[in-house]
Amino acid sequence: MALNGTAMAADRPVDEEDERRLAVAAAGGDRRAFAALYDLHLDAVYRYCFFRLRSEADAEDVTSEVFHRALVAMPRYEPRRPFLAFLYTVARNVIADRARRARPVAAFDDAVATPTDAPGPEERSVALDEARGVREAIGRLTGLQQEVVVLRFIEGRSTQEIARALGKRESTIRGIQMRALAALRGILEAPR
Amino acid sequence: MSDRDLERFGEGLARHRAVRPSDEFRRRLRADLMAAPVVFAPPAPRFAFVRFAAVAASILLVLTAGAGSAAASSLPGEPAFGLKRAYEEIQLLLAADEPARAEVALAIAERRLADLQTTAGRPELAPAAAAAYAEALTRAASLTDKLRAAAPSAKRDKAIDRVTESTRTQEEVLEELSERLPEPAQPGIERAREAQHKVTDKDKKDKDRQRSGDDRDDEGEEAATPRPRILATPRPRTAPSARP
Repeated sequence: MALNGTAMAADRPVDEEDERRLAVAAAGGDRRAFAALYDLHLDAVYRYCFFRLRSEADAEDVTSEVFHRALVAMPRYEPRRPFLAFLYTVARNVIADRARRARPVAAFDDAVATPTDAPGPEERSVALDEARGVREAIGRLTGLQQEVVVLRFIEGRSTQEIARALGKRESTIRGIQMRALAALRGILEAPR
Repeated sequence: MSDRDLERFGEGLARHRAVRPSDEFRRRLRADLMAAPVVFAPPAPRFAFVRFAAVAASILLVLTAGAGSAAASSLPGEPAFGLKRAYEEIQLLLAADEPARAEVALAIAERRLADLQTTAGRPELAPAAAAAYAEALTRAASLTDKLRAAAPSAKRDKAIDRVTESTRTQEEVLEELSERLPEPAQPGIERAREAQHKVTDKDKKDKDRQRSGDDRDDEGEEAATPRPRILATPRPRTAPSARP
């Protein structure tokens, strides 16, 4: 895992028409088109997994499984639907599967020991520690609250998008959002 | 703490958007996906299940008819509530078919939520009422799951839609209600939220599948038609030294 404040593929504006063309090509078996979709959305999927799971290793495992499942499902992908929304759905399912098999156990020890292969400045290390702290706090919210916080505030998705993605009403999402923020703030500001 | 304060706090979380995977993981997964073989799996077998009506239930109805009204206004945690529950169980047993059973279970859950609303003025009963609502909705969710697995029919679809739509309304009611209920009721409320989420989540998946023509449940249930499967290949994992 790394921290990078610049030029993230997932944060580039994605042209919907281009994405649709890529998705249609990928659904027809064009592996390069699928790889282009992967390049566009890997960061967002990884981030979602990073904040929903307890370690970088888990986030990598699930991210990998998400793209493998997406590859298999491509022939049935409906291009009118945003590809990232489809990937989030797959990610939620993979995480739910894992939770059913075994409750994720906090494993921060494997996420703090070694430096990155490209060590950055001290601020990056501090930011990374802070991201892990936030992840730990998010992990103490309910599953639904975690999803709303990650999608709304870390991924910057709109309430409307989240309501559509989770199959709920916007007013419900707003209620969950405020309770989740209050709980998260309480956890982060509690004396340790 | 005002809503605006909370929103400002939430906006501050956006700085964590800088989290991204390591370059090594990115490269290895990409290479793996480019090389992964995809094959079509044979159709999974499907079995039709036939359900028979419970004849004994009609006898139970005869025995208890007329006794239910005495307990109709009781709340969870009160002595007479057991009788009310027993009466509802019989209604459930007597449902003509699975869609009708899901609708009866939904009506029971709606009644439990109404009970829970009533306990806002009687906090000592709130924990039992929250637990009873969670239990009732969990059962409605489970019966709705069975319906989803059954062959499509207008009756089945109508029952699923009704359960889903009502659950969305219940979500809003519970959101509004939860803050007025005491702490001991919160575990039951959380379980109820999970059950609500289960219903709306499944509906969302169904709609997604219909939109994409996908007949497979992403959670790994059986498919009715051949679907491509990916052959097992080792997943790329970043070497430990590259992971922070």
